Amino acid sequence: MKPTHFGVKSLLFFVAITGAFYAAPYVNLFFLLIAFFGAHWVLCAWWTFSNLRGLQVVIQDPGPIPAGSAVALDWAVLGSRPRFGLKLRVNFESGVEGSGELALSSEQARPQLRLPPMVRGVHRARRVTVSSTYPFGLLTRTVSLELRPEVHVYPEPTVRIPEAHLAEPAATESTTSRLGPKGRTQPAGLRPHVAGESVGDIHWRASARRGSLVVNEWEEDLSEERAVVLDRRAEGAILEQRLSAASAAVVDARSEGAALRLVSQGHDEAYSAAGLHWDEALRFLARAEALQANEAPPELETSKGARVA
Amino acid sequence: MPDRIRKGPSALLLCMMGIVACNVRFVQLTGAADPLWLAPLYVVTLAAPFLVRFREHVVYRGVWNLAIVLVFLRLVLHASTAELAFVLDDGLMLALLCQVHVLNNLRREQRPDLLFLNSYLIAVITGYITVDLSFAFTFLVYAPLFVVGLHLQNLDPFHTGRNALAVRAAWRESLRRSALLVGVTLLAFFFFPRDFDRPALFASYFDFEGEASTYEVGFSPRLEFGAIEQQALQSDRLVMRVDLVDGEAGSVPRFWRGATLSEPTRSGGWEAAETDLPASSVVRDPDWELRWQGLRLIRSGGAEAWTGEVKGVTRVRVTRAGGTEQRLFLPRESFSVELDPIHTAGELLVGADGTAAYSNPGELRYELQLGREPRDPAPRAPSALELAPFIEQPVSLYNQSARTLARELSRRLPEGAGAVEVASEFAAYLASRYPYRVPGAEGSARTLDEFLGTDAGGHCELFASALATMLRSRSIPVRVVSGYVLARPLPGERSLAIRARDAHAWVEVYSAERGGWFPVDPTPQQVLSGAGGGWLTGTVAALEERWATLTSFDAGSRSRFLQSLVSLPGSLLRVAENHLGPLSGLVLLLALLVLRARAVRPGPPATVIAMSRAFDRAGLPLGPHETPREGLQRAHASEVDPEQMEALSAAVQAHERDRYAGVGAAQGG
Repeated sequence: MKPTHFGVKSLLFFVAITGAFYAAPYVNLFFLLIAFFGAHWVLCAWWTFSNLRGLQVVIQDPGPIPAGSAVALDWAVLGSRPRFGLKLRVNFESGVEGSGELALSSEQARPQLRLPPMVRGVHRARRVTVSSTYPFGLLTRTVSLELRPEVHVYPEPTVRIPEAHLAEPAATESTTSRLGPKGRTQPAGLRPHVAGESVGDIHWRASARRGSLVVNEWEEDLSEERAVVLDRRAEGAILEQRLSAASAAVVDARSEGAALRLVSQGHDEAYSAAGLHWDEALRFLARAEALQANEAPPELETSKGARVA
Repeated sequence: MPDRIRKGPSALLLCMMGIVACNVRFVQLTGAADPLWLAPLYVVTLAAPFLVRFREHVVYRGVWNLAIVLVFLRLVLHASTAELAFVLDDGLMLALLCQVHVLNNLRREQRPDLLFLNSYLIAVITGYITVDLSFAFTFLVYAPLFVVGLHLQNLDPFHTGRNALAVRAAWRESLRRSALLVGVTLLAFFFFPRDFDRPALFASYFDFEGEASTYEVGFSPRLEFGAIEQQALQSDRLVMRVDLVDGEAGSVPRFWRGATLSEPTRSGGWEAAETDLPASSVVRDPDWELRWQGLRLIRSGGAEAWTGEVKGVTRVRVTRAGGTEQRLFLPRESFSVELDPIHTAGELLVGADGTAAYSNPGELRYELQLGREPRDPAPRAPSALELAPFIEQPVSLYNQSARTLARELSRRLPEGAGAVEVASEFAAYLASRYPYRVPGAEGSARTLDEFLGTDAGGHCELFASALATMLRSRSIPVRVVSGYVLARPLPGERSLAIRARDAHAWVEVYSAERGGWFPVDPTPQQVLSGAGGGWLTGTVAALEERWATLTSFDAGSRSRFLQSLVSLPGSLLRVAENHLGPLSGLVLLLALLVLRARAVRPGPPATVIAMSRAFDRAGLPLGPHETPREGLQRAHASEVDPEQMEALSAAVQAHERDRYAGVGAAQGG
């Protein structure tokens, strides 16, 4: 525990009035006021100490987060005892620092830990501290927590890879087939038209026959497979470009709920809503490392009907 | 970050407003400034939450800053030209001005550190000067505001202005802590060994002399007509507290002498004799002997002469408020003055006229023994030389009326009337003929001639001065006395307060028949009627008595308190023995109440509470006669968020499992 700026000023003030007390003839009320000021310092030390005593904090795993974007993580204080004026600070090994504040801990409180934009990689917390100057702002106490959260920062997704950077024919690609609208390939039946749907989807002949608008119902083409082949035999900007393209494909698949296969050297996993979550693919991209040029290229075994660009 | 202060008063600003208002009240208690000066400060303090919205307005800022600069210059000018003792007053006003200015210009990003510390400084200085009960009340308001303010200031950077929950919680917690803090302070006050036998380090700097003593509000050792400060003489500031130790409150004398003024001034006033008067028993009255290394005064002849004549000596303990005053205010009936043992740094000083002072200023405690003055069976006749200073005629041009009036009144008296008779007749005439006006009142007389020649009226100093001039014109030795008059005590009252407004002037007349001086008060007595009745007055008196135990608390008080604590178990046992029947009934009643409280039906089971909370969280609280399943159906129809729907189903299932042991548990779909 150490005094704040206000605490230093207050201490000097206390010293000054105590000096005046001894310099002046004795007066009971003067002593009473000095006793009050001294007691408020003593109790302040205890209250500041107890505000953080037995404190338990959880930081919610945010999942993989994109590089170059500021994000906020949820955190919370466990226990029913109210805590006031908490400042959470996380120092990562990479030198990045995040902080968050909480005026009063409660079930309704939703404090957030704000993180600055970070580079791709796995950022491990070096130190997590909570500090407080509550209640009087005279003393500050800082407590180190055992928490060591990790933040996976995946490459910032890009849509298109500049041609100039595709140095080798077998370099990375994301493959997505677009045969029908929104990935759909063949009509599965008819259903009534819903306001707002595209006019192009209306089956005019069937509508005329039924007397009401109906549209084609499309079904997914199960024979299609999205696959990303990532060749990590590159360094620096080229590797990052490839990783960005791969992360764009993963993010697309995740947002569309489409299955995706990610293939790289020593890695071949399928990601979907039912199986391994796409976030695991992003975590892989976050920690992906460059390989030597003499390493073997990634091998992709495609199922029948799948197309790989 | 939005400027919250612009949008409306924050809890912190309101708290600060309360703190500054308490500061204004503190300063008012010291009587350092005219209420007319303080009134605008009260207004701008209480209006601060409203005025902050104009803070950025150019015209408003200009007017505000100009006013601040003008008041500041006025204070600096006054401090540079006034006596040293006034610097404290001006300093207090300056600190107060600073508080009001900061309060009204506090910006959102600005920490009010200065406001907190400055407010406490004002409280400390005020606590040094006054021991008024009002100080206790004001401090009891100030202390929680100080604590709450610190809490809110500390939470302010967390944007609690938009978090009413946090502000409310901080208020609750800080109020609880305030009570604890005051309790701890009182414990420290009671038990800390603070009966310091120490000299003040810079006592000499507090040793104001001469004109500086005119700082004392209300009391003045010099009468100067036309220079009356009205607010000073009407101040409610507590000057002394008189606590009865032995005897009846009714036997405590009313007139407490501070100074005798025997020398008339050219402007018609009175002052203490500049030169040393002849050291005779005539001048030196009362005549004191110093005892116990200057810590006790005994009337010449010894206390035995006094105690032998009266049954039951009245003993009082006096606590004089702090400040620059060194004078001891004593009734003529005092035959023993004993300083409190804590005053070992200084010594008692006896003036040539029998008045007493303590060598150091500040709070002073002393004990008096009071009795009836024994008659000297063979008084010594003083020489004309000894009496000459008390017959000297004022040379002022403004007292011709007094001489004329004295001559006319003397014609009504029989030939050879003594000093007692003449003084009584003159005093009665003045009291019945001339109206009393509060000091400085508009239209009241400013000179003795105006007072006696018109119906303008005047205050006690004019009455006393008129009587003294009239008596001297008849060659009767007389001196004006300035001090305080004690209000008549209420029945049963044992702690009496003397305030600045109780300052008074009267005369002492020398009578060869009586063998000494005796007091005569020509001021109309209804003016000095003293305290009234009523429950409010009684309550205030009782509170003041309690407060006095705090302000005069010392080692002796602590010893008595501890003794009462030690003897508490024995006292309780005695009470129990004497009141066994009622006490047993009380214990039985308490036991019944406890049993009844325990027999109260327990609350609803945890699953019911959890279910009720789940519905509340979903924004669909269960109706008074609605079953959980009906509530669940309503939630389905209301298209509740799937997660909340799931939580609701789980809560209802848990409730039904708990209640029906799994029979017919609700299905989430």
